[in-house]
Amino acid sequence: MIKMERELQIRNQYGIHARPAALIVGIASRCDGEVLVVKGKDDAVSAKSIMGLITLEASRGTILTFIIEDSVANAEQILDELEELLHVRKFDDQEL
Amino acid sequence: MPVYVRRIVRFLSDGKHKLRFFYLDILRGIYTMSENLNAISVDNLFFNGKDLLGLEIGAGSKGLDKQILEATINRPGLGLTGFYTNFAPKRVQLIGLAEYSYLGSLTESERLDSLRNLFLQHIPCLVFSRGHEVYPEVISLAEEFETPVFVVDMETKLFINKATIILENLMAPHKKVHGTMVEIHGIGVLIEGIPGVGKSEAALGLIKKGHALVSDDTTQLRRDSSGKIIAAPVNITRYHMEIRGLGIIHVPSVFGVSSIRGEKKLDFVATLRPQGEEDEHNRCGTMQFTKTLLGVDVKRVYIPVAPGRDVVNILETAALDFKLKTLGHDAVKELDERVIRLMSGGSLDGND
Repeated sequence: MIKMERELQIRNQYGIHARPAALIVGIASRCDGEVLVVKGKDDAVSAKSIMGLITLEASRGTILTFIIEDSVANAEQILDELEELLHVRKFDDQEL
Repeated sequence: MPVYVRRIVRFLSDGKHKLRFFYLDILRGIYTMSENLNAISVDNLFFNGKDLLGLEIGAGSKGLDKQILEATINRPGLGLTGFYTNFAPKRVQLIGLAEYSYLGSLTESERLDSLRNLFLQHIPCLVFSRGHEVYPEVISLAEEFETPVFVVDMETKLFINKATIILENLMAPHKKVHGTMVEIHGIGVLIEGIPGVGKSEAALGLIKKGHALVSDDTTQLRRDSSGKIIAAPVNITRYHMEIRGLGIIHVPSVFGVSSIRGEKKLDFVATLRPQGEEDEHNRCGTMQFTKTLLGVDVKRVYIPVAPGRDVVNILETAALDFKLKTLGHDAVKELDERVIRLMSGGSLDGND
């Protein structure tokens, strides 16, 4: 089973708290397959779970790896949207 | 997974080499083997044991990244006399009253030699119990060998007991899983299933019926030394739940403290899945399923979810049935025996 992976960095001020988690879930839920997120050596959590994402304790600067199985039709599109959310929109956070 | 391993995996996955799956398997094997070494750093023990054990660092803080490879405490005893055959250097080393008195009976140069030999064994760290003052030689050796030295006020035996429990918990194999853990009539149930199948809603229903939540959606499992699996919430999201349509709720604030539990032994896994063909194969419940978690086979039941099916009620009954089976009462088997008895000319109450 080959998996598509993308490493993305958290660039907003407070990292993944409740609202950013909900934004990730919003995108991941549209994926036809499972979306996993890994931080460092920790166990993977589901990107479709707000609770799971919060337990990553991902603060600003953290690198997360998003993993989707290759066979999933819209894998590429979901990863692109996640990249835009984390790198370009930065969770729509207001910079202080 | 370290970055370099991931790069090799990506390089192999992208390539067209004939043997790429073979190499990938080997790589995965090596990686899992190295991961299974459940070592913890001295820093980790210090961080987690600071309050419970009253550990205070005396010297050698540069060596806090040293690894403890065995979850137990060793008293060097004989080692201090120079006898190091079958010595256990992978463990936390403890200088209790006996070792301390022995070291005190030596001359300064003998003591330095004895302690230097101990540090030469590549020990992870050294602890002085009963608040004993650390010998100045120890401080210089700790800095030289970059090995942390701690002092605790506790009595030796008390420290051994408490520290062993902490080490075992820290070093136990653990895993974060996607699932909601509840306690139903004293039975620990992990509810799992694809996102949106209704895990949290089922847990909510159970809480309303007086059962307790351990953790919602993401559960931390660990295997204790007796091989039991213990489920606990992940600290940061402890006792919070996410319910579609409501958002995040804090369970004990809404339902009271009796609605939560700190941790719970896992008895069985309940997998919720949309009702389908496969559910027709096990109408009697004679088929037994298991799920392997942290190397332990845990009993598993599949619960089909469909409009009009009361999942909460089914989960509650599944837990009660599990309890009954552990008491040696198996409904399918007993019904079957009754039927067979009747067919072979006996009567229902068992008298021929």
